[in-house]
Amino acid sequence: MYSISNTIATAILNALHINYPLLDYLLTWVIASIALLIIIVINVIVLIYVERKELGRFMDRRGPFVVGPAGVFQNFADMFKFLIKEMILPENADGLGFNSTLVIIVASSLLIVAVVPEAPYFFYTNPDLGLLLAFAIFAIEPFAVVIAGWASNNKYSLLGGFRSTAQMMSYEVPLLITVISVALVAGTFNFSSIVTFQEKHVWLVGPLFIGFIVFLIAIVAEIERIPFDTPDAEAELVHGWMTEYAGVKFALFQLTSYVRSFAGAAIMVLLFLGGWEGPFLPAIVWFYIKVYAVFTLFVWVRGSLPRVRIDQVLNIGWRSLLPLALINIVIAALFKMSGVI
Amino acid sequence: MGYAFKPMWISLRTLIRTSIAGGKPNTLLYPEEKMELADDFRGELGLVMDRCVGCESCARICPNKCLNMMLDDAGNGIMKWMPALDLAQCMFCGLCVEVCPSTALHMTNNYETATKDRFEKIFLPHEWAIKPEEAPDQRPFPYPELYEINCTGCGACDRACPHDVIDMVSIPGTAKRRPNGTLGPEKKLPMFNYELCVSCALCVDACPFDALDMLPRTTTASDPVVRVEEVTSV
Repeated sequence: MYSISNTIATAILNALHINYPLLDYLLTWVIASIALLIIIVINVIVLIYVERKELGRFMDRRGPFVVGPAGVFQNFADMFKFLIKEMILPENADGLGFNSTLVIIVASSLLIVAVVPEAPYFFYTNPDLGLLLAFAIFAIEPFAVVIAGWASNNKYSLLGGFRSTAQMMSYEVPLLITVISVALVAGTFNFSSIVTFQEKHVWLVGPLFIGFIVFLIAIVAEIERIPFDTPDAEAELVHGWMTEYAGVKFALFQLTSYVRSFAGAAIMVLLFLGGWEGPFLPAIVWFYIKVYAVFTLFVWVRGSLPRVRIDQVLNIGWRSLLPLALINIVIAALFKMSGVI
Repeated sequence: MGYAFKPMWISLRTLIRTSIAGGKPNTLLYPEEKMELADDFRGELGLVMDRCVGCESCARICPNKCLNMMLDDAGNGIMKWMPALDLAQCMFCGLCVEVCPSTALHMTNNYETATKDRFEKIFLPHEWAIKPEEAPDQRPFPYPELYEINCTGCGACDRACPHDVIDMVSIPGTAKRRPNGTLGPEKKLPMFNYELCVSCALCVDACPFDALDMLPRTTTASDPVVRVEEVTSV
């Protein structure tokens, strides 16, 4: 992506007859960022549409079908509705905490997609420690969520914030242990190198199947999707820690949820399902096919299972997933030592 | 973990049935497709003006006081005493249909009655009229039947009847002797002249002893009240 935006930037600067290398560099990155933002937003819109239609079909009903042909413009209609609503700050709420946590959560979620490559030649940045960086950024959110829950001046939001932080922190441990097992087998933290390793040997979903299952459950809990949406328990806590956010702020939180779903599905595809490998189609098409297949798996899980209770959430995280993740890492070490992979 | 697989299998089956295997989801594409309704669906009310007798039973029994009687043209220049309907108050309970003696009220299958102004929904009798073909066939008229065992001869039914149907008749030989030797009054029972009766059921409402009930009758001939029998003791 750097090269594409570099050409655009140099074209613009040459048209304006400015020759200043620093400005060229800056403008390149600005254009690349805007391009990334556009790609993420388009992806999220398509993702929300896919979720609503597929969730409908899982539940023996149609998704949206009135607005636009086959309901394509429903998301835009909902976005316009959010835009015309009043943005409310509750009376005794902490304004700084309320608004800044929104910025932190949205920005950190968008940042994750920046370190996830989509094709061998199509990435925003591909750092050598990309895997660790992605999960470090994932871990910023619990911190911001509890501040958002407290800043809303609402005891239900506070409870939702506590539950959310507890859940996210508990599920990060098996998540990271599984990720370490993948890095152990592949020998690197770089996403592109992990995919190349899978192309050469075998998709890691085979040998590390337990790790795949643990990663699937843990990433659904990290993203706060159903069945793990206890912090967002709509029957109990109105909307958890997001209750007091009105209008556009609520829309941005929904956007963030889907950006994190996309990022989680993308990381799962890159780590376990062979990334962009596939027979005939170009790499980026295979990447998106796999990401949407994983997302369909998320939607399937959402459409079938009831919500996990708050005491069961922590039990599953610490007592079931953590031992499985440790078994998985032992298996990975055995595979690596025996030289099979 | 096995408890997670059964719901997932069920929803996967639903997905395959609705998307790939050619089945349709359960959703109705309203307003192009509409639900099939049963015959006894309780929709908007309709009045068969030819059958209405003006007995006001529907107006009396309506819990929300939706029906108000007024004079209106029944279609051929004849003015009749018929109910006007306030559909915004109606709760579609169907009591008026049940109590109407001449089967003049019918609940149609129309449920699309939404409006922006609830005062638009006050209908004059000819505005909510339906043809007799759209309503079920007329049931036989009900007439008051006497349960003699409850009747005390108080005459409340005679006083309540607006059409002079009831006549209180003394039964000979039922007078009792008082302790001081005089003869008391004879027991009275109501006699009904069913040809004048309009089935308004005011007598049933008035009776304090539950001695009257509206039952369908095949003939308007009156029942004999006085039975011919030997009176052995006085």
